[in-house]
Amino acid sequence: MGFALFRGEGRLPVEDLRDLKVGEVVHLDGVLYTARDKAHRRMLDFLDSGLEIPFSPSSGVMFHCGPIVLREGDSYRVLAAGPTTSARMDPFEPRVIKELGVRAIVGKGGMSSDVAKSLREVGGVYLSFTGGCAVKAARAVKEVLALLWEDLGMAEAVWVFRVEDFGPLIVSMDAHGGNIFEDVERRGRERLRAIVERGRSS
Amino acid sequence: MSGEERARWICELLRRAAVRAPRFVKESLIKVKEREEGHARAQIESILENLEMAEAEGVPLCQDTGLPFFFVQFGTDVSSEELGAWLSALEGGVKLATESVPLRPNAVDPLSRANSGDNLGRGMPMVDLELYPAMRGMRIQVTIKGAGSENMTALKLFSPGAKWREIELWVLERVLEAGGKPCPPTFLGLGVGGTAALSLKLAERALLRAPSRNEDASIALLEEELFELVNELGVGPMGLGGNTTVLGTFVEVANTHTATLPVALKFCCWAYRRASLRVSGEEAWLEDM
Repeated sequence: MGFALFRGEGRLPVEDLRDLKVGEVVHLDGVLYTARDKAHRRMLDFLDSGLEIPFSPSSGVMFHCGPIVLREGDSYRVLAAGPTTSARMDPFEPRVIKELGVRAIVGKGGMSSDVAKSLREVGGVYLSFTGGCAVKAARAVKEVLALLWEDLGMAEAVWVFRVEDFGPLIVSMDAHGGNIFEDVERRGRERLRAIVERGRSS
Repeated sequence: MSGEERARWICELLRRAAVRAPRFVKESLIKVKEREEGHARAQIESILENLEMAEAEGVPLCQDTGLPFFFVQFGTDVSSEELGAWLSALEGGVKLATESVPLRPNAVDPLSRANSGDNLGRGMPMVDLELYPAMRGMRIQVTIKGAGSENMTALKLFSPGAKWREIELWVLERVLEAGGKPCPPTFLGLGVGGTAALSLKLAERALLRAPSRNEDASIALLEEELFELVNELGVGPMGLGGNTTVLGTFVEVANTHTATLPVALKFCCWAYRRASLRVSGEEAWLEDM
């Protein structure tokens, strides 16, 4: 179990997640836990009621994803497994990071400033995978290690994937407060102001 | 044609939509790639690579295969029996496609969130019916759209005196707010006028018209102006910054009450999935688009 991130063509291993800066591109080997709204809610419910979560979130990467998986006899074949919109998990993620020890999240679209703060506190990162690129993602899944909380349904259950060379992943929120989405929005607001001004003067 | 055959055609229609993006989607992505560099370009390259993979493997290009929405257009030569037969085949087709494409079972009860398991259940599948007097036969189009972009839908009842400029700035605000969440570069459908409900329907129809411009030249001009302005914002592919925030902007207009101005905005992710089935008597075929 566990995971490792690599940089560039030479696959240089990332020793400490704190070394990563926004804008860097990495690839991932290791364990991914898929979790969407329902799985997040249940993790926190289990935490509150002292129940044991049937997997160890800190031993892998949290992947915001609801895949399409085909059951073939006793095994599974992952057909499509792109990221889902991470912002839906905003209310749950700070506790998942701080109390369950998750250090790396893969999703799309970015997360709230509360999540960013939690990542900064623990030295974690948020990585973007291209939304909609579900077949490309599925090809990196080498094995389905487990299916947990199956009662939540195919999309909402926790799938445990072993991936190889999963990426490219863009470091979009880092452990030092760097946040691509915030930067893009700030610049967008400046441009919007310019558009408004231009309209006034014409 | 038997009911079973009709259901199989509907299944193939859904497979086409889920697996292969329309040609105009691919072409606009290839075009914008040249205007991008760095991360933005890498995102578009991944998208194009993924489209190839999905087509080669015959599997859904995105794991969110949405909720099937059927748009059925029919001419006056279509009998009510024939229309009815096709409408009753939709359910069977969706069920078949959910198992065989496969589509992700996405339909849940809105309150209990219980999943029906087959993309059916109360109110499913969604159908929009329209009589086209000039048309011969039928066209059954389907769109399957992820919830990421659907969740960004916005509706505003403007003061009746609001100018186009105000509407445009409202759209720009919504696009900034949405950021990377709807999987940009997106397609935007804007519905202006009617009632609140009609404006949303107009926005839906505007998206369905892609890639064609509005036939009314003055509205086509507004579509182009909006396209340029939105792309100035620099949200970029996946919200990571870049020159391409939208791949297309479409506006539909209807008259409205003198005391109101409803405006609806719908986003569709880059993975605009739509397919079309033509029916003429006993013949049916998938249309290229």
